[in-house]
Amino acid sequence: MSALLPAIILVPLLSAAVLAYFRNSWSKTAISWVACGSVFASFAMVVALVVSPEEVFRSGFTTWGKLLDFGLLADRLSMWWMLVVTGCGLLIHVYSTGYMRGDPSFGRFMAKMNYFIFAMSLLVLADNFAGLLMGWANVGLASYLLIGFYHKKPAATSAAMKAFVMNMIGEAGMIAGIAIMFRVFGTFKFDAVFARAAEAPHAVNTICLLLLVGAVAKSAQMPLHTWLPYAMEGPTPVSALIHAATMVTAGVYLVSRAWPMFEVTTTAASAVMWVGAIGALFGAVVAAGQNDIKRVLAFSTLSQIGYMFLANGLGAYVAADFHFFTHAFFKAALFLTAGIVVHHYAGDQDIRKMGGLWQKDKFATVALVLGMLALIGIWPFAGFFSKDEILLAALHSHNYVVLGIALLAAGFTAFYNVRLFSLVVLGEPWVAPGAKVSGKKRASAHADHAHAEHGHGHAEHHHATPMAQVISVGILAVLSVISGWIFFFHGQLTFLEPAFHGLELVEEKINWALAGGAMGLAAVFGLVSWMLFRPGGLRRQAEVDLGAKAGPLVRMFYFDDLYEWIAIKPVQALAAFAANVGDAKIIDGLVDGLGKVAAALGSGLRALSGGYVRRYALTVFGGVILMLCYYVFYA
Amino acid sequence: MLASMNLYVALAAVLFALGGIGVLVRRSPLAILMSVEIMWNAANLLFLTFARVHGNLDGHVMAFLVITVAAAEVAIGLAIIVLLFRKKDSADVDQVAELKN
Amino acid sequence: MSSLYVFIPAGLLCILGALGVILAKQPVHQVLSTVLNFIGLAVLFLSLSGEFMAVIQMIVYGGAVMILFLFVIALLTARKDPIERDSGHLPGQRVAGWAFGGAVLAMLTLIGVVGKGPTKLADIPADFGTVAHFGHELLTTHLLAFELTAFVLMVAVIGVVILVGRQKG
Repeated sequence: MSALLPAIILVPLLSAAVLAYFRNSWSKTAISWVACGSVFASFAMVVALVVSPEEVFRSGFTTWGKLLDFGLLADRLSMWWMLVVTGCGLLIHVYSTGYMRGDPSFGRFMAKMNYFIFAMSLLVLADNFAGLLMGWANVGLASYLLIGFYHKKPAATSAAMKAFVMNMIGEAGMIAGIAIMFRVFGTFKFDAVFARAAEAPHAVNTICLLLLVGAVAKSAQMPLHTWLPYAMEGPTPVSALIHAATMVTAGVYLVSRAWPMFEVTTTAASAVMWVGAIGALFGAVVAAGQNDIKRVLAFSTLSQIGYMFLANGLGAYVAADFHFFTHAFFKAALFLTAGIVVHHYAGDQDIRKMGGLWQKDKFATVALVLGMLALIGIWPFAGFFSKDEILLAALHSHNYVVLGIALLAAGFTAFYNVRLFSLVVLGEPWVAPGAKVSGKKRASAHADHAHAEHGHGHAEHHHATPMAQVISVGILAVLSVISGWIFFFHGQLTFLEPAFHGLELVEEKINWALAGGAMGLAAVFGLVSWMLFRPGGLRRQAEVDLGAKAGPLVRMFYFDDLYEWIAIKPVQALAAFAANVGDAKIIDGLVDGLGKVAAALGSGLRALSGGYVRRYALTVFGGVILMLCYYVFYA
Repeated sequence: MLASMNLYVALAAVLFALGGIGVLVRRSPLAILMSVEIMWNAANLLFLTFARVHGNLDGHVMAFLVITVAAAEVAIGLAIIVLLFRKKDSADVDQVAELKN
Repeated sequence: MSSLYVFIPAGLLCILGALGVILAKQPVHQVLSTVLNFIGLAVLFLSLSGEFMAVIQMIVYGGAVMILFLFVIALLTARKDPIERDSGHLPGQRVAGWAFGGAVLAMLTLIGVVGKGPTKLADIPADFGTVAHFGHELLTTHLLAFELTAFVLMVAVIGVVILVGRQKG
């Protein structure tokens, strides 16, 4: 059985290589089948591992000396994650076959997506920190390749670069942490390090803080979060898979996996908690001001991952992983639905130009609503249970400030979701001032068509939403509803428990007071939002006004500008200085001054650089003789 | 049973120096390459000698690697030589002075 | 000592081969001298219980590399070898070469002969240096080196293909 482990990782890699080679010669159907087939194979293997009664599977690779003892480990935690990676990955691959069909580089896209699945699997299944780091770096590369997929668009390429550079900063911290760990413990393997973590709590604290730097960069938490909104330049399936469901949650995985180390630390665990709490609130607030539908979802992701970090920091690792599970489904559902929605509006992602989705596409509206309800955390949707567990963890640990922040963030979550709903779904489709009258007429004519014939506006397509997209979004929407119900059977607790043995896991019953309070707060915020943004509401006209100046929310509290000011402008100024002043005046001046001296020496030395190889050899031998003289006469 | 190790080391030294002389004195690129081969072999001899002294095979492995790299290098070197001297009259290393200054 | 009977002839063979390389005028003579050198070295390797290495030496070096040289000489650079009677472009190179080389020779030999060598040889198992033992070492303790070797060879092949492949243009 454990022989399946390498296969899970390698099948997508092989498929990626094959697809990359044949990307221009095979038909799109063939490419689709190969790509989805390989992810399906991995998923099937993961399921086989999950249903078997054993808890842990190990598989070893060859040992490369004592330095790198590489193997694969599938304990309950990694199996839990792999279910999402391969399962959600499969659904998103299926979606992509419909969504990206019109793109001429379809083969390249599917190859890169498969490569990502390989990289993420490697990250999750490795049994040592070095392997995890390899997976980490590879997912970073995959992210770069996929964000910059539309490589002719300068916005996309610079976004990809930004993501990569910021991740590199995180990786620097992470590598430092892992290096210190190797120095202290002498090994990279998880089991060995965790068993001895209690011996050196201060060192472990430092290590965990450095690992946190890496996790923060990868998971786009504050303060290394500015790359995430720009990463939305990638195609929508990419945003769904990488920047919502799996890659950005790698930071959560890292902390969950290293839980024995975090349990021993003093400040690192609370650092994780605070990073999460601040991120949760910040993301939710900023999302309320964004005008690009994908950016709203991006900040929503930031906020939800903040919740996961919060739970991890409190020691409620199971709650964090449960929230990761449900979040993957409803966030992916939201992103993929957003893809369909954007298609209806001729590719325009600005929500101020949307509206009236209910008339255009009932399926998309329903999917959107289901995902949103799960995201807000309304009973009995999935998000309710997982978010509630996190709040309970905060309550149990008597961390009331953090609980307050989390509740506030939940309120804002409702706020921005209802805003999004109002602007996109309700009302009449936005009409550009001075547009032809036929636009409006077509919109009302389409009220008859219930199913996915989208309003034309300026689009040229005349096809319904492809079945592939409908099916995958449908499955994900259903999962958003039901994936929380495994809570009722404490399924996730008993499944994950063996991975956290030794840790006291509290069996969470629903605390109806807290849950009710959270939902009530969400309802209040949602109501306010609805009052503001519904058609005819107080702020609707102002929101929809395209010419309005971008306020602090849209500018993401100016973080981006701050970083530009701190990091980029000084470097550019320094470069300009070096080029214009340093090079031209200072260095040239020096050179001229020394030139006279150099000329005198020049002719003598010039013989050495005559270009004759044998002369070079002669000088080398001269040096060798000098060294030998030392050995003969002095040693 | 064996000749004293000093003799082996001295022999390796002599071979190395002879190879070095070959590199410095000859003008044909092929001759130079062959002289470098002799230097490599001297190093291999040293590796094997000390492997025998210490009783483990690390020296053998190293010599094996040297042979491999040498073979690879000869292949590329010969390719370069062939390309370089295709158009010229004589294969004289001194005529290839493009690295001048 | 009895083993000097092995060492001296083999050593002489090596030195003669090396001298042949640096002194011979014809390239084919140089190749043959190099092969002589290799044979001498192979014998020396055998006396050091390096059976595998000795065989590899003959097969790879003497068999493959030298054949490669012969091919290049025969097919591609025949009649192009410089007549090395005059000093060509670099006056004084030959004198300097012999001088420097001689100095290195003297010093290294001095070190080799006078330096304190190991007094005791380690005990070795009977299968020291055999193919099985060598293979085991190579593929367990030094696996990384082995893998990198494969990589190096691949690079060489690619390099040669890139270098020579363009002429069909």
